[in-house]
Amino acid sequence: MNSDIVLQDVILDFKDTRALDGISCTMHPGKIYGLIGRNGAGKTSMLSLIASFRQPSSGRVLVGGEEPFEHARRMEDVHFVYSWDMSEEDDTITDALNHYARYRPRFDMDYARELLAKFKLDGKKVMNKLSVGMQAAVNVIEGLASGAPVTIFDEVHHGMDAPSRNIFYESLLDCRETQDRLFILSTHLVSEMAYLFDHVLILDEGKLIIDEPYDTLLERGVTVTGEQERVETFLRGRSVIDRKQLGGTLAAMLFGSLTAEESQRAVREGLDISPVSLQELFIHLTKEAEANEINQQ
Amino acid sequence: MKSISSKHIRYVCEDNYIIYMIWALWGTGILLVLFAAAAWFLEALRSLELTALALISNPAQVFIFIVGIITGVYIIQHYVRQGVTRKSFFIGTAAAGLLTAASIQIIGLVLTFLSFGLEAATPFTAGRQLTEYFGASRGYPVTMGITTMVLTAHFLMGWIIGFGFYRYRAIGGFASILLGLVILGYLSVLWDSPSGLVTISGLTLRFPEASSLSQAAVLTAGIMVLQLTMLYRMIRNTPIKVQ
Repeated sequence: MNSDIVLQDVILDFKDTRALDGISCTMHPGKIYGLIGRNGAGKTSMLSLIASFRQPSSGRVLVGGEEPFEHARRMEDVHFVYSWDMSEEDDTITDALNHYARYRPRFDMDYARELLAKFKLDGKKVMNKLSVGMQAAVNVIEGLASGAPVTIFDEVHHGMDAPSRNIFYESLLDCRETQDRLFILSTHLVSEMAYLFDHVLILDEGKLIIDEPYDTLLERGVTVTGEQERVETFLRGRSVIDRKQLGGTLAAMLFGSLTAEESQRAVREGLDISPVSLQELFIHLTKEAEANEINQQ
Repeated sequence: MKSISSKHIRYVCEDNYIIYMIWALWGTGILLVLFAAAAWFLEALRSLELTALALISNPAQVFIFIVGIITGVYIIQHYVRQGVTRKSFFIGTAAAGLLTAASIQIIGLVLTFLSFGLEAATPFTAGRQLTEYFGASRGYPVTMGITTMVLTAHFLMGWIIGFGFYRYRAIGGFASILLGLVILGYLSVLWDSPSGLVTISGLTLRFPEASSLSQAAVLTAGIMVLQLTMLYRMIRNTPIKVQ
């Protein structure tokens, strides 16, 4: 089953505001895509287009080679999970899951029950009596058990405690291993969730500034740590995107990778070379000046 | 590309119908309790002229109109989130509204026959009069058919107003209220006010009246087609809010 997602030069305008500006990318099943960006960067707008919640102002959105908007089969293939107000919901969790299962042909109720047990949720509990964290767990269960070829989680972990988030992450990785599904995670918990991503998309002010495999992206930066003067000498002529100093020790983050010779030289000079984290890259790439610089590369 | 799924249409219709009927049964129960309490104190209510079917007609119009408003404001995002196309949602929900209107008539009929049974066992005197259309009683099947159409039109009007607020916010919502006043005013002229005059908040409007029952039925069907067309045009491309 083909459930590739293709966005071709997608623009989305809200009256005078351009929410998405010329987004083009391709996503494939069997991978977890991390969609990150600052508040208002356009993440939910982009996900809304994939889920047929709205249409682009121009450009094309394709799921499995077809435009999903008002396409009965394609809309069924995409499941957009986000936090929503359950205060009016007087169904029990089990009733709600049974209801969702009617609309999702691949919904796995046994797996949903297994997840309920993992999250220690009582299926007889009424939805509007659940804490925020429990509501988030129900959303996660809905998405994971749906079996939808394209499953999108938009900040669903809000309010979940650390053990529950861990269950979510482990279950997500299990699904990725055992099912040929495409997952998109939109999150602000970059450092915590980075290890889940196979591929990273970074949006900034409506533009897609990064669309790379996770491992490749991390190679775009290194942190050089050591005695300040030695680090400064080593860095001469390079693009430094962040510095942290503690006493005489300087940790500088470089944009760009080192050659084998440069790495050996750094070691000879007593400098420590370590990879940058996705969160550090994200913070610095979405600073205005850096973003412009990256766009030009 | 198929924009409708018959399976989804059936599910949307069933799910909405069940919710609407739960509300309708609650509403009927509350009405019965209020009536019984009032009849306890007011002797005049122990002897009725109108049937239960006729008595619930006006409350049912208000009820189904409110159900329509709730449908317009709250429901679409739930179904689109479950992968249902707007068109499937539209067809399923319209069918659920029609079925609810018809079911309310059946509830009225059941209550009417229950009142006849009550009459045999208690001092209560059940009414025998049906709602009169064009100056005459038309019998149960025709009366129930006409009232089902009028109730469905009220449901659609509530849906338009609710959806007007959902999609176009305050300005669109208030514009749809004005439209609702005109359409419901005209329905009132067709079935309740053969003079062609309707007064809304002191403003008297004159509408062309129907000359016969069949003409009124055709005009009512025309209003429903207009309402359905408007609704579909509003719904078919509507953006869904993530909230």
